Amino acid sequence: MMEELRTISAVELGSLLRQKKLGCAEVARYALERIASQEPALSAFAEVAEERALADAGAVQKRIDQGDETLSPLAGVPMALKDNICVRGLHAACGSRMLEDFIPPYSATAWERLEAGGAVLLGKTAMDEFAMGGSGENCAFGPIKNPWDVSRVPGGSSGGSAAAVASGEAFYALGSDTGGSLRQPCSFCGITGIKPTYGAVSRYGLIAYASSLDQIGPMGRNIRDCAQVLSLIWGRDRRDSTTVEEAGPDCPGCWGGGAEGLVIGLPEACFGGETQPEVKKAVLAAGRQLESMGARLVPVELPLQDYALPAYYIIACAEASSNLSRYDGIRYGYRAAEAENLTQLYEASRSRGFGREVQRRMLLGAFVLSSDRRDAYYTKALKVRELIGKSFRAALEQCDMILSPNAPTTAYPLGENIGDPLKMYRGDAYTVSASLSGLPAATAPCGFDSQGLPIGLQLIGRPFGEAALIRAVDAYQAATDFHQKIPGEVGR
Amino acid sequence: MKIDDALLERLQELARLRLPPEEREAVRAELGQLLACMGELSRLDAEGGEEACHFQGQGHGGFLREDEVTPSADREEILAGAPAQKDGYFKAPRTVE
Repeated sequence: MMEELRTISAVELGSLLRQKKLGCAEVARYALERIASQEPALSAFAEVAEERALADAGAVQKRIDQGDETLSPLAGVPMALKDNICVRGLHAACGSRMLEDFIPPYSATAWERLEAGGAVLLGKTAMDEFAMGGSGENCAFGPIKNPWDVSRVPGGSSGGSAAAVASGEAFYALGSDTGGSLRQPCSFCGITGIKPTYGAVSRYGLIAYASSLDQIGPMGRNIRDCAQVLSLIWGRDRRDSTTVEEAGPDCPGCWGGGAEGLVIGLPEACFGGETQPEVKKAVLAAGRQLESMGARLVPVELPLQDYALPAYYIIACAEASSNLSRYDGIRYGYRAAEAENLTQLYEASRSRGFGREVQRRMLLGAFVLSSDRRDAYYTKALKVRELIGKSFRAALEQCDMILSPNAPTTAYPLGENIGDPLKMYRGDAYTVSASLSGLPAATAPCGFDSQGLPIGLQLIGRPFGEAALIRAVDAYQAATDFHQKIPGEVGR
Repeated sequence: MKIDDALLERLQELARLRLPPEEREAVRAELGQLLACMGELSRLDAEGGEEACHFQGQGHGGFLREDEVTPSADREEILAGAPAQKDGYFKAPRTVE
């Protein structure tokens, strides 16, 4: 039974726990032992909360024994949270020296909803600083490694969550996505994930990067696990007025429907020159697999694809420079010891607290918002954003969802792109559009390259069309086993 | 896009950052490269277009709630996280003479 835990899904595990075929404590101990054995090679966790996890497990077991009906289908399943998601009383360092000692006095809504249903928290996962980065190398406390090859990056900025799930340290995790930060590490680490429609999941308690783009989402072993997690964290929150009343995916109703009748758009613009040939091949093969199962593939046009990256980075840096102006060394966070006046205090605290990538984005944000450049950059980017949104809505009138690669390449070696920010940014080419348009996007493994590194596909859906995405990926995963492959042990 | 000394100085001021002298050249070069990429937007004519600020078409309009007083965060807990505090206040360098 314990050997099955390496590959069992969160939904199946939740069922076994509810039926008391397994106990919460033994499952939590299993996860903590996995963490102990894999962590020295991965650095996926910023903080492991061992005592809390065992205490949570004990409390949930009591609730199961009492037949508590408020428990979710995932009660007792050990999981992890990205370190930009606040849990009261636990550090939230956000991958940064600026928040190294920060302990939030409140919890994120997404966590509170999972906790109420009996989630067992193993700890907080490592991430690129303030969610800025596409590799897992911008974490101030050291780079995160890919379980498939520890000399390579796991992706970012939810690299720790991806590595934790892929290595079997956690049965599922929450990540966050601003321009691809949840989806891309899923692709690099061979796991499944969903970036919800903007507004579907509360951002209360998510440490902000770019507020019109940020979303929390699930990362797991398969789409059913992700769908189940999503249904638990979904929905209107009085503490985040950008959340919506729309109903979330109904589980288990949203899976098992097969691919028959689904119309899937194929945009030529997303299979262009910069994509690794093996990635293109695997994603197109996935499309044909779905077609063989009754889906219909249609060509769609995305004429503004080339403008998505510049528009995204202008808007993201602008919003980030505004959001991160709260880090002033006064109320929380790093404070430089010596400063003769307020300006010096701000400059010294921020210059030492923030890493290079964050500072670069602050400066870019200041540039695009400065009075004489605002129209040419920021206002222009907002107009382009609206046009991109329109072009996606037009494409999605001809299909239920759009298929594209997730990351244009497989995981690259540590250090390869760190000195080339533009190359790093181009890794987001296929993910930023869904963020700009506020659309949901699911990602799933669809193959491996010649070096055994995972390849991920992306399906972008209509607003609040998560159920269709779940149905498509579920059909694909019923007929393929890429998502069931696991990396080797990465012991000491 | 070339970033001269005056511009780099101005950006640091706006962002309340102070780059160490030995890093300025590298950062200047990186910013120039990234701004060149962002400048690609100038190739697209979006004259007369609307600006996207929020997703109203998707059911967002924001929502309002009643102005009820409910427990907020714990004051002691918040102050415990402050780098410097005194008598229940955050401490900051003097700004008013």
